[in-house]
Parts: sequence; structure tokens; C-alpha cells
Amino acid sequence: MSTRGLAPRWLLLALALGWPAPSRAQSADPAASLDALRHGAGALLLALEELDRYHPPQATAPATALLAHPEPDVARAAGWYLRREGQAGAGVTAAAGILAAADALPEARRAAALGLGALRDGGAVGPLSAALAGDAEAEVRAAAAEALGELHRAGAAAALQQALAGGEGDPAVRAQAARALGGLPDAEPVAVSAGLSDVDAGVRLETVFALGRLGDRSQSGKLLLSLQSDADCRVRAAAAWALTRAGDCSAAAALRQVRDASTCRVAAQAAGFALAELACD
Amino acid sequence: MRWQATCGRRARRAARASLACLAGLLGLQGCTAEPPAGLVGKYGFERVAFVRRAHAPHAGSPLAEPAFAPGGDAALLMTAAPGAAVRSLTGGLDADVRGLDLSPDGERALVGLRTAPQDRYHVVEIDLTRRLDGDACLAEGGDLGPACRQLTFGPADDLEPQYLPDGRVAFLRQAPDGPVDFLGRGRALELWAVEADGTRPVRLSFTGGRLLGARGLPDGWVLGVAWSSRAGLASLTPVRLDPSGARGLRVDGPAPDPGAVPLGAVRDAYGQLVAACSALGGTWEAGSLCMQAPEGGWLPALSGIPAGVGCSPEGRLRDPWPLAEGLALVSYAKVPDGCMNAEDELDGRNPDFALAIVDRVTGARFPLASDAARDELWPRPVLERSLLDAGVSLPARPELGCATPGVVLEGVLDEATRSAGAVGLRVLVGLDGSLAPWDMELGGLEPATVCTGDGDGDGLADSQSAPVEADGSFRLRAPAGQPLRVQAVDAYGAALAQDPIWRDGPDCGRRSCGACHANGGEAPGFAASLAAARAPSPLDAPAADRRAFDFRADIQPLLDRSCAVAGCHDAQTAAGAYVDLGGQLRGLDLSATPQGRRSTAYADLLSVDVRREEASGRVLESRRPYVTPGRARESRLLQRLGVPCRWACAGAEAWAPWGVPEARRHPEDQAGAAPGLTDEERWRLVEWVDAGAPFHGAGAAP
Repeated sequence: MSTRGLAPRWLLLALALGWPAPSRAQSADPAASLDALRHGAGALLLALEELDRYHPPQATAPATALLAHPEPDVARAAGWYLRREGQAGAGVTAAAGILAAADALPEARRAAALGLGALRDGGAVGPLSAALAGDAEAEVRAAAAEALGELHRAGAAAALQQALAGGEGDPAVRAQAARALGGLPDAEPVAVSAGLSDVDAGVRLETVFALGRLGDRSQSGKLLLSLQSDADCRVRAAAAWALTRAGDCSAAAALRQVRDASTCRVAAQAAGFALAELACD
Repeated sequence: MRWQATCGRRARRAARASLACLAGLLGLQGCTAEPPAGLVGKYGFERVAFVRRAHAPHAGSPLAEPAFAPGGDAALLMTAAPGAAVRSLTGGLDADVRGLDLSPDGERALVGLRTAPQDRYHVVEIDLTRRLDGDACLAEGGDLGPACRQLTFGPADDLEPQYLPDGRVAFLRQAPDGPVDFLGRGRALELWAVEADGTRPVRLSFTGGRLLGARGLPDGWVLGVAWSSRAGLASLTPVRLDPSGARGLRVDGPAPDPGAVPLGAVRDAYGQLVAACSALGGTWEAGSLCMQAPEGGWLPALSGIPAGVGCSPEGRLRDPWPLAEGLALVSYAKVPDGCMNAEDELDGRNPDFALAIVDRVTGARFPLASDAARDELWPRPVLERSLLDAGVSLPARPELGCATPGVVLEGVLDEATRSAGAVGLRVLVGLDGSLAPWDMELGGLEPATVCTGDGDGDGLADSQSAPVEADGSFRLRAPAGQPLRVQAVDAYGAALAQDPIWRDGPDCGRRSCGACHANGGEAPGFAASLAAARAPSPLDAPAADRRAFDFRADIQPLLDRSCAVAGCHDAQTAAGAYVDLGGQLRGLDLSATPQGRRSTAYADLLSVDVRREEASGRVLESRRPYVTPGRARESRLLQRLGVPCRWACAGAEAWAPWGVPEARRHPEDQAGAAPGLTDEERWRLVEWVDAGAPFHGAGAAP
């Protein structure tokens, strides 16, 4: 019989007798509160936040271990915690080791990649770039791309642009690379725009979002093509938004035409929104 | 007449005995009952709109990012009775829906809809009539059908939409380039609104963190809980915000218990606000039913289901919608052993939420619909309703037809701040993603700040400051649409008091700041004050001139020249040795030696000397660091260096009285020492500390 099954009635009886309710997310022992074998992701996330109030040295090791937790949010939070503790360098060493270990589970490598991103340490660029280029699992490479975007470091854009331009076979990874590039001011809009001709609609969509976030007018011509003729209506709608971000009034005529005559209903709606935002009339 | 059921009577007896928790011991979990005939007609609705979502990968946390969970839709339960038919409103099975609201006429529904892994959650409006007549919502090729209309676009996640009484649509937005979440974990979650046609997107809130469970009330305000930081630690603050932008944001009562955070408040037929009170450490968004007490706190409102973390044989509920006679439409779940919380995922026992009606007095439940493979969430009865109380009129939206751009901040300083020597005001502007493409980490403490300009072109940052009148009143005009925080400063430029919350407003909006500690609204005594009789002092430094502090560019050069010199605070000498609370000999190294992402100087200045409990590592004793972010007057660095008078110096002491006496002032001012700091440099240090002692500035690559 599971002892967990007895817990509710015991707890209610304890409460009825006025005993304080135990806190699942907090423990007198930091190592115990970060024990992934005893606590689920939600409790671990809150335990990290609680421990952030006083950063006990005893929590460093278990928090570092959480960099390999299969739940992405936990791995990210562990990286955040170590960064706040001033242990980003040690965290990078640990996570990079997991990421490079051939015998580590893909889930652990993926988590390590995301943790590296949350650590925001320049030392993570190399391990993440290597994982993006060479890990056998697409989900690990995608996590590496996401983490490179989180790092905001010189050198990250090059690896991501390489993946987007055709060095990567999996569309989910290319899409993640495009997404990450949208947050990097040193990304090259011309290089990013390579994703507009990708065969995968998800990659094209992320590329359009990225170009919009970069706010560069030099690619407006390509965005107009996406607006008018992309096979996926989501991409067309996103292109309307991206043209708005670039503030390019030369796109107004095309937007009007899409608003009034597009076969894509959502693109027409987006074009109407874009025209109102541009206010070029 | 409320429906009767055997288990309901048993539960009612238990509740009457004020031993609701004993219900679990008596084995009452799983109470079900057949409703009497006519229940549906009695409560005025025949259909319930709701959302079906794939089970969450774990029991949830407010920290989790909105992850795509395909396999859901918005749906309509055609009659509120067992076995009733369910119609999908969105269609398709690859979508994910977060949040649902119905228009006042019951003809349209809003959802936060995502249709592909690489897309985002967008606000989509569904025409229920057209949909039920057979028109599609989702179409081939990523398009929408005639029954649906997309209102938001772009790479942001737009969640939990709702209709506002002024005709606009509000929603929670997490944008990739939006403000950085407090404590630098991720992106903030903020309330935005668009017009009914999707145009004019505008941010309605800035709390420096995540706005949880925000819901519009019939009095025209939106009630939510801001999860942000105070003094560098996470804090929960109930807030009311005016979606028109005219009245801003107010703190609404005491901080909620982290074990019972009210989410999605709705007013019931008796005029009481009812919400789901959820624990930060429990199954997030689910908990028990609670209601707001007259003094503003929240009290349990349902027998049998306790709020908080831990196990509950009676399960958990979320998304309550009050019905008549003490009943509520809810989403309810339980697990076999009753221990449903954030740990259950370990055993594969994620809660399965299903639609139910609960009796708030007895705790009895009547199940409406259940799909074992998915959760049923956000139930809403389809019926006409008014979004505003009779007699309530909405304030005009200030930005419409605005002649003078900028938001006016006005108020009266409290007596304590005035008598402490307040001579001016400084406005900090929160850095958001557009200003700071690199994530900001301000010593790991306050969220981004700093509003400085170089108005005189001397290459030094000038505070944007405004005068305080003799009666303590002030009135200034600051840039609109940006998070702002007001600091009252003394004659030495150091902050005496700081507005406890961020404020922002539209062009022509007004924000009252009563003594910098008030909860908003009209500042007491302002109408008859000196400042009220004059035009606002403009703080209109061009955005291009505004910049944020960057420790390496603005502070480290001063340290290199005057402090980290050979034989003093360089890496080799680290002068100023002392025995710390842990018994170790430490010194102050102010060199630029890299230390992780920061420098040794920064780490040493902000390092807190602590003594810890051996077993847990909890802090037992601590000493102030050299720099206390946000508090220049209390920072040992500035106390030791001394700060000369800056403004309104007639009659003031030449050096800040909160510093050490001249005889003990730091050696660098003595003959033979390294070049000392100029007055401007000392004021720059004061501003840097009061701005939160940031390490990275806008645009500074870490």
C-alpha cells in the first residue's frame, strides 16, 4: 500500500488538530528541497525561488544537478538560480560536460543546453555552437539554438545563421535558429532572410517574425513577397506584422491589396491591422 | 431551491459542524448528484462554453513559460446536463487554447489560440452563431474560416483574452522583446488591449513582473495580482488598474498569502468577489474557492476543499463562475488518493479537470462534462450579461485627442520625507526590451531602471529632476507609455523615498503619487497645493539622450583612476581588510578583473557579509554591503566617500550629513593619494546606486 495514499487523511487530521501545514516547496535542507526524485517540477521551481532569498551554499550542488532535469522549465530555472548565485562559470562547466557526453540521455543534453542559455555566460557559446552543429538529436540541437538566442553573445549569431542557411536538416531546429536570431541585434538581416525560402512553413514563419523584430527595412521586398504569395496563411499574416515593425510605408499599396483581395482570410485581417498601425495615408 | 443529494446532505452536516476537513476523513470525496429537472432553465443558460486542453506536462507553476500543448479546442456544451452534446468551436485537434471569454450579448467568444508549434498564441474572436451554423473557424493552410477573426499578430504570446466594457479586448501578453521579468528570469506578463478590430494595441499595465489572474470587474477596474520584486525579493501585490489609462494602477489591499493567491475574480449575485485561490507551490491556477473580505483580504468560500499546498481528498478547482443561490460553475479535478499537488506528476497523476457545478455552502459537486484525455477549463455560461454596473460611467481615455504628449505625475510628499530634506524629484524609467536588447541584471535586485539625460551636453548623465514646492507638492510631465518610478531626493541628490510601484500612463494621463507611498487615486491635499496651480515641469529629454548606467562604462573608470591603484584597492593589495562574519579575512578589490559575468569590483561592492546556519545555509546574521542598490544614503561606499551638496544648497551642509564626519572621510581625499573624485563623479555614483546599481546598461553587450 502506498504511503502516499495515506497522506491526505493524515494531513487533514493534522490540520484539524491545528498543526501547521507542511510546505512542499520549502525544506530546512536545501539539498532535499531540490531533490528531483522527491519533488515534481512545480515544487522544484518554487524551491529555487525560495532558495534565491538566501542562496545557501548547500543548494549549489543540487541546483547544478537540476541543469540536467528533463523538464525544460526546471533546467532554465536552475541556470537562473546559479547565475543569481554568481556560479555561472561552474554551471557552464557542469552543463557543458553533460551536453558533450555521448552517453548522456537526450533529455539531459537538451536540459543542459537550456540551462546553459539561462546561465548567460560567454563560456557557453562554444559548447552550444558545437551542440547545434553536431548533436545527434534534433531536440538537443533545437535547445542549443534556443539557448544561443538567450545568451546574447558575440559569436552566437554566426552559428545560428549557419544552421538556418541550410546547415541543419531538421526544420524544427532551423525554426528555432530563426527565432533566436530575432533577438540578437548583431544578426545579419540578409543572412536571416535565407529562411524565407525554406521549404518548411514553420521556419518561414519564425524567419518573418525574426525580421520583424530586427526591424530592418532592407528585407522589405522579400517580406512583401511572403505577404503576397507564401503558401501558408500564417506566414502571410506574420509578414504584414513584420512590415509594420519596419515602418515601411512603401508596403502600404501591397497591404491594401492583400486586405481587400487576399485568398487568406487571416492575412487580410493582418493587413488591415498593419495599415492602421502604419498610418501612412 | 438548491438540489438535494445524499452526499450533499452529508457534506452539509460536516460543514455545519465547522469541520469541513473531516469530510475527507468521512470518505465524502467524489460526491456526485443528479440535478433536479429544470436546473438549466432555473439559472438562465442552456449552453456552457469552455476550453479543452491536453493535460499539462506537470502540475504547473507561475514560473513556467506558455508551452504549446496540441490537442485542444474551445467547445460548447449544448445543454447543461449529463450526457449533453459537445460542439467544438475552433475545430481541429492540433490547436491549443488558453483562456476564454464571452461577449456581453453571448454571441461571440474570445480565445487565446495557437494552431502550430512555431506560431504563437493569438487572440481570436469566434462568432458563435456562424460557427453553430456550420462555418469553419480553422481552415486549411493556416487560415481561418468565416466564423473566426484574429485580433492580435506578431511573435508575442497573447493569452486569456477578455472583453472590456469600453468595447476593447484585453489580454495578457508575453512578448519576446518585452520587459524583462523581475529578477531576470524571463519576460514579464502584462495586460494589453486592442480595439474591437484589433488595431491600436496598447499596454495597460507595467508591474515589473507578471500580472496573474487579471479580470475586469463591473465597476470598470481590472483586478489582478502582481508578482514582482520588492527589495530584491519576490513579492505578491494585489492591484487594481484602470484599463482606460486615466486612473492608473492602485495597490488593492494586503498582500495575499502565497498559499492562496486569488485568480480570476468574478463578482457573484450577492456583490462579493469570488476567485480561485491557488498556492504558488501547489497545482498552479487551481485551489479552492475564496471570496474577498471587506478589508481586502481573501477568505475560504467553499466547504471541503482547502486552499494551499498539500493534499486534498476533495480535489482542487479553478476558473470559478458564480451562479445564483450559492452555486458556481467550476473546473474541478481530483486524483485517486487525493494528493494532488505539484508532486503528483512523479507518479503520473496529473489532475484531470472537468466541468462541474459546486454548492459553495456544502461543497457538493455535480459533474457536467468530462473528457478523460483532456482538461476542461474556463467554463462560462452562455447568457447575456452586463460588463458594467448600472450607474458606472467609464472615464475618458486620455490619449484620444491628446494635445500635449506625456503623462503627468503629481502629488504631495509626506511630512517625513519633507522634513528629511527633500528638494527635488527624480524619475526612473524602467528599461524594457526595446531599450535594453540585452537582459538587464541590476545587481540581481530591482528590475531595470534609470532615467538620465545629458541635457547640457557635457557627456555626463544629468538626472531628470523636477522641483518640490515649499508645501511638498510636485507636478511633472514625463514620457508616456513607459514604466516610471519617482524618487524624492535630498540636496545631495540621494533618494529619500521611492514610489513603491511602477507607474505608466498614456499621453495626457495623470498619475497621482500621494507622498510616494499612497495607493494611487487623488493625492491628498494636492488640489489646494502650490504645484496644482502651475504647469507641470517637463521632463522631456529626448529618448536618444537618455541612457542607462553601465557599470563598466560609467563607474569602473572612476574606480580604476582613484581606487584600484597600486597599494590600495587593486587586486594585489585589496586594502580595507576586515574579518568577515564567517571569520575569513577579506579585502576590497575594486579592479576590473573579470569575475564570471561581472567584475571583481562590482562583486566586492555588492557582496553581503553573512553568517549562515550550518545545516540549511539560512542567513543568521548579515552586514550591509558597500553598496545597497537603490539606497545611496545607506551605502557605506558613499558614506565613506562623502557627497557634496548639489541642489538648494543655501543653508545646507556642504557635505551630506548622512556620510561620515570629515575627519573620517576616505583617504583618497587626503594629500598624496590618487586623484580624488570630482563632485560630478560623486553625484554620478549616487545616481548609479539609487538607480539600483545596475551592471549592464542599455545596449551594452554583457
